Amino acid sequence: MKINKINYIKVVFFMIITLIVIVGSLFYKNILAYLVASLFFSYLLNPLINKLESFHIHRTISIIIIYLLLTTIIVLIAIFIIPQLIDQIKSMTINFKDFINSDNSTLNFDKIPFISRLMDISETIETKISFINFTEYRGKIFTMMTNVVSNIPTFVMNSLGNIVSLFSFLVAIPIISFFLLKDQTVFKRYLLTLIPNKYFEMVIIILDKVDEILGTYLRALMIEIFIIAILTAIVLSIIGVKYSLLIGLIAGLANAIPYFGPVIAVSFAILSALMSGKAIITIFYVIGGMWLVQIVDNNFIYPIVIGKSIEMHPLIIMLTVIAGGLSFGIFGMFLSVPLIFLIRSLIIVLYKNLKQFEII
Amino acid sequence: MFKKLLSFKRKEKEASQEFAFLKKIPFLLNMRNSEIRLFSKLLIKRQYRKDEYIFKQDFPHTVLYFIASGEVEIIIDKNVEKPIRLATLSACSHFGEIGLFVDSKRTASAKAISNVILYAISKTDFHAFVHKFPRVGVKLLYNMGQNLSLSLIQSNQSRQKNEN
Repeated sequence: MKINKINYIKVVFFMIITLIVIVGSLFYKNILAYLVASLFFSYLLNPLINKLESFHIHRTISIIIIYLLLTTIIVLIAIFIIPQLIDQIKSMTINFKDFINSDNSTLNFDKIPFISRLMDISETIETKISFINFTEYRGKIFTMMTNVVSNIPTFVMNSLGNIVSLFSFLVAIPIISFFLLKDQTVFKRYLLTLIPNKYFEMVIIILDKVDEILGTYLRALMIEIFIIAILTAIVLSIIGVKYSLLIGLIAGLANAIPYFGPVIAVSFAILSALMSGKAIITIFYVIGGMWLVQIVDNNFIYPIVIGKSIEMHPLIIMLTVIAGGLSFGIFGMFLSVPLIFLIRSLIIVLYKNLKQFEII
Repeated sequence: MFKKLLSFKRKEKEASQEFAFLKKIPFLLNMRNSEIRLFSKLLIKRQYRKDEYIFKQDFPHTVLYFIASGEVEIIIDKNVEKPIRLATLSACSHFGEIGLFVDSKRTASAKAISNVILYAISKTDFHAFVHKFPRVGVKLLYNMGQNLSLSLIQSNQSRQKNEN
């Protein structure tokens, strides 16, 4: 009888807890993105802060030192790189708009010397050899290209608009991260005290695994983005492609999208080379240069920096990127692979440990 | 301001009282108060009822435990007809340190024989602590080595006695 009473109290208690969790989640749902971004930011900075702390510098002071260093770097970037980057974005957007005719449905191919020359050649062939008809195919290709290119300025401007609206978001992240970094052990200890004895050791293993996967992957990804952006910008500058800094940045970020990212970056570089009226040979230089960056990435940067942090079959990676892109757009393409990898690893670790701890 | 300072001092005092037992743990014996305080920040308080298992034999090695109060028995209870009691540990003892050095499964089970309060530190946190504070870490590892060597000597002596 007593046992039944205890179980009844337990059920009511867990129902109340579940209700509180649901209501709490609904209440805090708008700041979930802030929390996730802050967690990512904390993961990136944590090793640096730990290193400083190992010199017996108080953790709070260590965080302040790293924040000051980061602010200095951001200010230097803002002074030396951002104005150039904004100029390149503006100039690129204007160039793209010039390239689209006022009716917004056709492209002004006269602006690209290589394509206008190609059109002249095809027209000459058509007049000389009567059974060849390029016009139909040309029309189809041009319509497709118009659709893609006419969306680029809107995409760039919308992204800029989003960035401005994200300003408050960006200000909030370092503040939340400060507390996450400062009281990291307090939060972890508090969370673990809530875990029932039966699951305590298993939860520790799972938390460690998540920490290892997420921390290693995120830090490695940031380093890779940075190196690829610099290498691409240098290679494109040597070739003489306009907007090398902007395309370098796009290449670095796009590189985080497996397989498709490099193609996106090369397309931008080729388009830029074509629009600035470069000789046809420049396209080959661009492809060759960016291919070289990919060789360096695949053989040196990726194995050293990311290494075996993501071990998935190439086909699964490719399908995951496509699915992510179709469901959530560009962000889906970025996040789908690490997210699926994390979920997959979690399921494996969870299953293995549930067995080892004799829970299932 | 003064009140805040007082409450901070009180909290510090409470914390040092809570972890006073740690100074009696063999491998923390010659550690300074500041070092013990640093180490204690990573400890997670756990409470177990009488007859509750802390861990079972063949579970993965993850955590090192310190006993603050109560008694724990270390037993071999798998693949044996009757459980074999290896040791009974009381307050100011520790168990589960093998896992800090070897990636293996628990060689015995740990069971509470009275209501116990334990403080736990995970393998990852322990390793991180040693890397982060190498000076304290070396002291800690040296003490642990000494402790394990003593247990080995004791075990050899008792084996010799049994053979004789």
